[in-house]
Amino acid sequence: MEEIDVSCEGTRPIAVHWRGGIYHVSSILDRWTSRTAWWASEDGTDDHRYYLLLETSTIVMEVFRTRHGWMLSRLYD
Amino acid sequence: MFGALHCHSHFSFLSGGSSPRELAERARALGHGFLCVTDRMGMSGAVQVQQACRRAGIKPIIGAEVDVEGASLVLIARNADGYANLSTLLTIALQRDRDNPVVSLEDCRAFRDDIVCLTGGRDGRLWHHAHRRDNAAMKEWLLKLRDVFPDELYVELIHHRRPGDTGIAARMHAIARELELPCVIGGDVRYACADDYVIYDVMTCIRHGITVFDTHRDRPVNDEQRLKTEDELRKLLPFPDAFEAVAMLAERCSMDVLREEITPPAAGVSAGETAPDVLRKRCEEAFHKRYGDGRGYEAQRTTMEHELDVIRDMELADFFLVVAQIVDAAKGMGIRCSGRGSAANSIVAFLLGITGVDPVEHKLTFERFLHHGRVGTPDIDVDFDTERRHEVIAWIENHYGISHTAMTATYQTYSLRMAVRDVAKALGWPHETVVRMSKAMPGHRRKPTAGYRDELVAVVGDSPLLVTLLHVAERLMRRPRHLGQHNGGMILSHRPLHTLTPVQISANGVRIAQFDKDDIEEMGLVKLDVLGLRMLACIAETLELIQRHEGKTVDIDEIALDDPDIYTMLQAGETLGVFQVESQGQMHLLAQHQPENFFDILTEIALFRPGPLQGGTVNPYVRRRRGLDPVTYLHPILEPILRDTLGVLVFQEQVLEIIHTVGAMPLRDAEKARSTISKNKDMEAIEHVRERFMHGAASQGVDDQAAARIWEKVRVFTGYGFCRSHAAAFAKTVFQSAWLKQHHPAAYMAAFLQCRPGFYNLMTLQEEARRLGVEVRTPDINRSWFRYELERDEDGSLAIRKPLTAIAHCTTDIARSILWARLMGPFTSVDDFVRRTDIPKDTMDAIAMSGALDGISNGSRTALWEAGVAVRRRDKEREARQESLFDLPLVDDEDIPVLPHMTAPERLAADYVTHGAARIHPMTLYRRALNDLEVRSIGTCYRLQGGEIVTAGIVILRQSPPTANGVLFVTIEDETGFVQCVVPPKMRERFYSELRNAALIVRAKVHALANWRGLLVTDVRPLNGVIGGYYGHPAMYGGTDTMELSTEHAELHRTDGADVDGISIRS
Repeated sequence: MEEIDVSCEGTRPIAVHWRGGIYHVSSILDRWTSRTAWWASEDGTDDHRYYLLLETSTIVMEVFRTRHGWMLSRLYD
Repeated sequence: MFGALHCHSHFSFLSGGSSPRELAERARALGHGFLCVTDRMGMSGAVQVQQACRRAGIKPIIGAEVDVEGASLVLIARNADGYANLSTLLTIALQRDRDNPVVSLEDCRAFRDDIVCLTGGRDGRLWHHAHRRDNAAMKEWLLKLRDVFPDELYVELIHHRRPGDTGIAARMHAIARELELPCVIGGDVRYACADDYVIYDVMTCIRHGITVFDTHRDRPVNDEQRLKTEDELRKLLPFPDAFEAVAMLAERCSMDVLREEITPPAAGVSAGETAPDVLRKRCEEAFHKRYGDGRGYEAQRTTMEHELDVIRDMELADFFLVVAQIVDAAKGMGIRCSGRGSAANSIVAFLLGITGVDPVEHKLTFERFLHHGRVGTPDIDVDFDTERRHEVIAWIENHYGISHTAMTATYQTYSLRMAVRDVAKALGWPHETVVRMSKAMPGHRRKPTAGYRDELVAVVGDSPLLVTLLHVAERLMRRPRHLGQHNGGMILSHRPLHTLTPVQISANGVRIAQFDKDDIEEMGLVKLDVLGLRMLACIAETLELIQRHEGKTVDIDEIALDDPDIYTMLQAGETLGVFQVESQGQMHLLAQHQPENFFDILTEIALFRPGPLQGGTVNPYVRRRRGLDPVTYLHPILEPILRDTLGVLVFQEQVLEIIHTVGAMPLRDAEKARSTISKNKDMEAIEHVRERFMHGAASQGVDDQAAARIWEKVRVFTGYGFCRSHAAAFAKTVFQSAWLKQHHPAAYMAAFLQCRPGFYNLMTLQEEARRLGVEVRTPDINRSWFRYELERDEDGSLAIRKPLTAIAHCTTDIARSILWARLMGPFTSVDDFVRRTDIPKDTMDAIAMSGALDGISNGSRTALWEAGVAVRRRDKEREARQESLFDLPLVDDEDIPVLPHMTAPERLAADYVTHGAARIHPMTLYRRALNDLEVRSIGTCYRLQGGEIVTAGIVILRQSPPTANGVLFVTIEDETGFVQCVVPPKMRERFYSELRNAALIVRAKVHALANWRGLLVTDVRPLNGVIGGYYGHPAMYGGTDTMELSTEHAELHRTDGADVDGISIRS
């Protein structure tokens, strides 16, 4: 997993900035959420992730957003 | 109208995180118009769903998630007939296979009328095929289902924001359109709100026996299986037709499981007669028999007429006749029974022989039991001889039809201890630690759950996970974990029960409905409590022993209730073994109370309850009864009501009368008011009752101040007070058991040892028998039987012989085989015994060690040796199939060495290990050493009127009731008697580890009250050093404590600086 930047229009991602490259999002293939490790923190701030499967011109990127920012989870070529 | 069509409540038992109430309230908050609860393989939540939805103002719909040929379908009842069919389908599944209940499509076809079928959520076969993109399989499955549910099949669409959900829903929608099937938005909801996802995740881990660190396909990955708004779902599932179908489907469903009327079983009266007529005829006959021409019993006649009218109006005549039939049948089979509870308020129940107390004579109020405004069925509880209760149940099943009867369920809900155990396990603590953590929790929670962190830190050390554990445990508490079986609640229905509730089979083969007693009542079903009472078995067995050994027939139900010997016995507190009054607390109260008549016994029973004890009622009553305080009333209007109880509120019935008289309410309104106060739930309703009471009191001329004081008394008492009718029924059994103990001690104690209706251990009971002059003899292979028996000696006295079944490892089957062999003649030697029986070695060893072979050998040690040799040779010969078995003895004289007899401590230990109690009290062996240390016998306490004593004994009881505010009561016993030691909280903390020992030396202040003695403990030491080397039977010390050698007790005798040094009395 790597930290990434994602440009959005409203809540819709339009481009992913990763390793110096810009990947324009052509479509959102799927979206889902996960909420795990609720037991790990005393204050109940568990790991809540919003996943997106983004189709760009070259690759399909699985990214997710947490309260800390955007992360790249997986790549599909 | 929108709502969730597929929703689990916590009645899915670890597969649903919210209660029906939480779901209904959340559904209303989200703007839903209905809630359809579809629990897994059950409908236990149906009544509560209905109630919660009514309260929330939304429409309730009932269904179930049913396993059909290995995959789940959601079946929803459209109406009452659909409910009956669904209930029948579930019954078929649950009775077919308890562990994996499933139905076939053919079963569904047979009971499909008025049932709507949804294809199911993530556990459904359609979803599974869609996930695999197998369109052919999807079609095939849908066509099969359409064949079974031609016009009632709906494709369920769900979206839980999981990977692929959007595509799966689209594929399912497309296939449905292709086959021209309607789609609906199902929801597959498992909890009400997002935060409940945590509790659902833990429940899933508990259900699968995994920890939160493990992966499992059933575990939730997010919090999306919650109730959602229609708008939110429309964004996820853009299929308007499916939303329209939801509304249409909900409109078509309408049913109500809550009945406004009662549906009793049919009593089966003859053609041409009606149940009210038959009931009246029976009552008239009984009235004539009991009261003759009725002169002097006008009150009884009036009461009977009034009751018969109410019973007729409420269409309960069948119910009364059915209970009477059951009681008659039991009595006909010679099974003792006794009605109790509020039924004892009814003269009709009395005349039918259901209860044994004349309610008019004892001033019992019928309205407490039944009145015109009562909703639900009246409670009739009947106690039966425990050992023969199953015969009564079998009779009921045969007589009324097995499909018309079932036992009531109980919802086994999470206690603090159980919640901590399950959550700790799910959070990954190892098993041993989990056990210790759960044991560190109290049986009754005394503070908020989060406050128990220190107790857990003491076990596992500090950990941030403990906060999480307690937080989750708190949320888990009071939620049902699984269904249990009620002790005795038996449902009787005129309709086959499986059409009203799914009926499942318990592990021990009992048919159980899926609802608890409250829900059963809400459904208008009639329940009869067929309870087992060991004391009734004990009384029945005593009567039989008296008849066989004393040649007398005692009609225990007709004994005079004024026998002075019995009151002397009660006043002296010699009540060990007497029903309800054998605890140390009761003995203390008896010493204060000094009962002189039957009514005193009745008040004794009612006073020794948490309510009066905590509410400070006991002392004022007892002091007034003894003439130490004057009798006063809060207001003169109370005098006629409280005259019997000397101005003190003692019984529930008095509450009813006060509300009726002071509050100027009709009796039936007063009973409703009493019930409202008693439940203490609806504060608004209680306030309404208070206002009405105050208004009524003013109309009766009671000033506001006095009325407020009376209201406060009533308010505090109502939740805890005891029913006079119940106390009256119990008091009779108290008197009967005391009478038998007093006049037939040998028979009574033999029966008591057999049935063990109390809570004292065997050693204490044997000691009590000895105190009564009845010898308790050890098991003997040629004299003992299956049960405790009596033996008459030449001097005419009776002794108790312990049975073969009292010996460790000697099961009922083994005992039976020994008795069968003995029918051919007594055993003449150990060799003969081994040859004629086929007993395993561990049982043979226990029999020899117990002394049961002493009569045919040279002592237990020799018998043990001899039996060992004989069993080994017998088994060897049998293995070799030698035919010489009957020709040669198994044991020759030269096989047996000359062995010494057991020493007294050895004998004592062997007795404890093999038959649970020694022939002499263990403390006897150490009396000399204790005397040297100036440790007095417990009997000495009873000669003192105060002062201080150092005494010692074996702990026979440790009690810390919730009402005692942390005080520990420890009862210690020696060969001279037993005494209760009171350990205040500070002392309990200081001597925490010492008090865990099996035997104690205590220094204490003597508290004397009539014949009762109590010790207020000031110092505690373990008795280890004195009786070192003897560990006794594990039951003596809970199987965990050990008794290690020490001489700590010497410090106890340091008085005025005079140390006692060098004491060493290890044996």
